[in-house]
Amino acid sequence: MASFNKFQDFIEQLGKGVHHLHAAGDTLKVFLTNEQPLATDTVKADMVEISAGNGYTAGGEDSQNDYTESGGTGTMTAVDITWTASGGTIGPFRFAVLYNDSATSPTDALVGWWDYGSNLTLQDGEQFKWDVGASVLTIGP
Amino acid sequence: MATAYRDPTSDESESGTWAGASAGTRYTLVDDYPDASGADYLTHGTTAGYLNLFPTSLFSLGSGATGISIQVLYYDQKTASQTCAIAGRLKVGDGYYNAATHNPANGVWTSRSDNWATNPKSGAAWTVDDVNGVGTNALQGFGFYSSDASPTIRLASIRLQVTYTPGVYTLTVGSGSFGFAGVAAALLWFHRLDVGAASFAFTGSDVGLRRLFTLAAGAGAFSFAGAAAALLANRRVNVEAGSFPLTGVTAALLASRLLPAAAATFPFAGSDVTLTYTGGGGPPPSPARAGRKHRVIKRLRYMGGRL
Repeated sequence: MASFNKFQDFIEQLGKGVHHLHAAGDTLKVFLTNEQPLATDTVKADMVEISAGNGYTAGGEDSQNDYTESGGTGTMTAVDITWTASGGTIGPFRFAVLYNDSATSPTDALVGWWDYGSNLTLQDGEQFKWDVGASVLTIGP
Repeated sequence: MATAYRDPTSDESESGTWAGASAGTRYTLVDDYPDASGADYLTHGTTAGYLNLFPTSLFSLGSGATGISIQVLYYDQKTASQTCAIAGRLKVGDGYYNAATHNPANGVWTSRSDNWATNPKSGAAWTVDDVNGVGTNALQGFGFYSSDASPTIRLASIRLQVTYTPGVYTLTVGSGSFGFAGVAAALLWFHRLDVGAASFAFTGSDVGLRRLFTLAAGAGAFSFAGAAAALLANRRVNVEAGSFPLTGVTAALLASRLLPAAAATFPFAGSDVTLTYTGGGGPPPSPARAGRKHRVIKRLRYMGGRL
């Protein structure tokens, strides 16, 4: 299981009310990149997204995020995302990055990223799945 | 399942009798699969042999591909009713492996598919490296083989195909966890923290109770530390019985600050700690001062204060 790596700025923007993690709030997307994210990166433009085409849409895909609270712990959930290469290759890429596509100040504020562990190029017909469990992140005591 | 294919782009070697194109360019007559009507074709016979062909490149399957099998697809027919025999073949790891031969249809173009479910050299399942042309068991080429080419055999086209299950690569996402500590441990504009009995430490560079923020707390221990640990203008702490140390250079209860508390112990320390004058003690005030004190008391009551 790939560890969640937070962008430091996410903590700041969370406290400043930039992120609305519930379903009726902001749209959080996942994009793919082959550039090593830095904890100090703040916005999507700080990294180079892979080229669009062959089944990959620029900007990534909607994580269908939602946020609930129970017992003093907030939980952000999402749904799995699958990219399928069609008509050519996708990549290479190594990192999946979660960001807030609705955020305007800062624009496309970053949340966190995961490392696949090696460069990956999807051949025609192959799939890459961003597989989430019960939660993407929790905010608790 | 998915498929990928390669058509021939060069001749490698041959034996027996071949006609329709000169040696070295025979592939040009069979590189147009399916060509089911035989628009152009090679003729083999009557001396039986083989024709080995190369694709420009082998396959480039992703590392996660599974369930791999290889097929040689082609269209053939014979030119008379007698029995003859032809098959597809592979070149793998510098060896040649023929499929089982069949007797073509007489004068009718017929689709053929010879399948290799496993690597004929290794005897094991095809690997991604094998079909990508890597290693000692690599797929290298394909072609025709005949053990009996009389009557002659016509070949309209040929194609090398791989069938496989595409790789599915999964990034299993670990969950992040965030506690209330660090640089963002702050209560900002219009935020409210209502707490029951507990112990709450507020630390970090942004620790503060800012304008219009309210901290309503039950019994507990609350320590405010740091440069911003202050009760500033219009900040309010409503507390029940407890112990509340207020420390630091700005730990002060200044004008219009309000700390209504039940019985408790409240140590105040620091250079700016003062309790400003609100009346009482000392000599009786003059009538003018008494009147001013009365107005001060009324104003404090109006502000919601409590004396």
